[in-house]
Amino acid sequence: MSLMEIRNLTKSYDEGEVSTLVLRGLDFKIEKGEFVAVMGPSGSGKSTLLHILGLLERQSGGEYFFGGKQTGEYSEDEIAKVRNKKLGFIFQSFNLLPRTTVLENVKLPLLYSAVMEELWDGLARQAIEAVGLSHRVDFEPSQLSGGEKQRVAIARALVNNPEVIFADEPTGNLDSKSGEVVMEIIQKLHNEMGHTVILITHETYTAEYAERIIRLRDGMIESDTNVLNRRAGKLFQK
Amino acid sequence: MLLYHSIKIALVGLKTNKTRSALTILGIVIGVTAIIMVVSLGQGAKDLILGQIEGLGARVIGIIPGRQPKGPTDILATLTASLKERDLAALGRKENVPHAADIMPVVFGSETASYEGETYRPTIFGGSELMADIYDSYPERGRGITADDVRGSADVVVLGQTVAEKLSPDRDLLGERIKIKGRNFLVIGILAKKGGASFINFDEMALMPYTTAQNYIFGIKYFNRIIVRADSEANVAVTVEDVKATLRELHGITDPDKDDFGIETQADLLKTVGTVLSTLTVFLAMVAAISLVVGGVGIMNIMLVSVTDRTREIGLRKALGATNRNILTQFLLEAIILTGIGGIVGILFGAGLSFAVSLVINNVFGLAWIFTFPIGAALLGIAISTIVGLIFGLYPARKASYMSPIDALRHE
Repeated sequence: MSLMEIRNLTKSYDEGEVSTLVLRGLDFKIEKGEFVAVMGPSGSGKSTLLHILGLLERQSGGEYFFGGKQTGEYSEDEIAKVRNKKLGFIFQSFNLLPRTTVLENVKLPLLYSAVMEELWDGLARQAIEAVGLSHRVDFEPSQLSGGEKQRVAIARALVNNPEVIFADEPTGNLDSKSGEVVMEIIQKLHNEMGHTVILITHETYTAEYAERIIRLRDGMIESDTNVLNRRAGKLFQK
Repeated sequence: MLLYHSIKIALVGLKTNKTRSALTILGIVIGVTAIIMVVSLGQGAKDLILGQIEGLGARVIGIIPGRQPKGPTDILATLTASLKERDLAALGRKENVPHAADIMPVVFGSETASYEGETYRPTIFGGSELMADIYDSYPERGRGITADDVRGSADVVVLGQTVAEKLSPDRDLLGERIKIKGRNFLVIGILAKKGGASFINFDEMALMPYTTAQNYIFGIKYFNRIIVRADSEANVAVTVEDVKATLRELHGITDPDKDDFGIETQADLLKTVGTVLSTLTVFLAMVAAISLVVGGVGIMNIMLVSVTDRTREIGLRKALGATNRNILTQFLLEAIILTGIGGIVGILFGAGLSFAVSLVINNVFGLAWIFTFPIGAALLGIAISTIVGLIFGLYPARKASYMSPIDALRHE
């Protein structure tokens, strides 16, 4: 059983009379522990695909199985629960709560979980340590650099120990150096902790941190290939 | 998710938007402040006025001439010459009214007084030697009216502070002669200053024997009041009945509805005035409560802006696993906590301002104003403001909870 499987997945947006077909029938499987990059030019539907896979919105047609279960069968509350327990999100624009410390930001998913409050602090600090920001726990987002903000977002995605981490253009707002650090952390999480990672990017350079690249064009799969010369992280190898 | 965590999230949300939170609750603060002040000051005024009525003495019974009006068109009520010397005599007999300790007839009216070109129009108050004791109106200097003055219709007068000052700002009038209605009166005493809002304002009065006032000032044979003082508080009710029986027999009245006199006791007056003042306070408090509703509309307005402003936050929370209910609870709690805090701040403000006002009244106007903290109104204020938060917070909170995480996250 695959962790995720989509069959003939479509998505259209209705704006009044006009209906725009964004995804035109996609099929693929993603196994547990894979590191997949979804590539494509803007407008190719890659973000929409990630939102559907991440249960942030529902498809218009076709089927999506998550953990063997038809996602159409989930209620709103169950979806919220799955998002909380099994999925972690990293966004291009970080989406940290302003005027809230790093520690509190990272704790955020725990607030909506069944995890006992006594454990929150420890889990959050552990996740912050995993992204190498232990010296910034009490800082607020405005005091951090872009790269650091994204690392906080990674820690937040990690804190619930999810099965899948979704990263939507995580390096899009970063300079190349910070971008590299962020990608190496994501790769390390995958390699060492076995998280399934789904990465959205339009840069080949970034995509090559993954094991497999799915290329989209105009809402259809153009290619689905394994990465031959995988970019290897050299982080923490000073 | 526990309610405690929801409260914590709501509190954090409010703390990160301090200025907005403070502005939001302003309407509630003002509303609750107004309620507390109205009720507190209303209570203070009531205590003060009732206190002054009580100052008349619980044993005092006032007999008023004329039929007491039973309705707005009861014209016969204007007949006011029904209390005369023979009534006084009858009431004074022990077999008629055994518990009457003191009886004093009273006549009053306005008349112009003058002294060396200065004129003033005080209330002429004619009574007996018992006046000082019954009304606690002992002269500060000089002497009061004596029984001899009454018997002899003496041309003597005791002046209230204001009257004395108006007639002669510079010179002490004690021992001088002033003119009232063209007749010379010897000023035998000056009253102590009593303050502007006493129930009977002695500062504005010129006291004299009732005989003098009847014969030389007003030219009447009847009394405006007869004051009976019972020998104890417990006997007031019995005395009232004795007075009624005596006067009815004397006036040949069989039907109590045709009484040509009325009885006023402190208890009656307390009840009437107390009811009027309470009604007034409740009415004003209700007006103030309307401002709370206006405050609630303000809350809804700002909460709606807040929901739009925090679209990204809502989307993020949903992406991280918040359910619709979690979001609804968060925003609803924010509204309720806001209005609750507004209520508490309003109570503190209202109490503080009321206290300040009471100090001013005490020190500037010299009245025995007592500050009271209206616990009932405070609880009501918190309850109403919380309910306002619940009602006006519901719509914005629902709007927030129905947002789709992805629309929310896309929002720039």
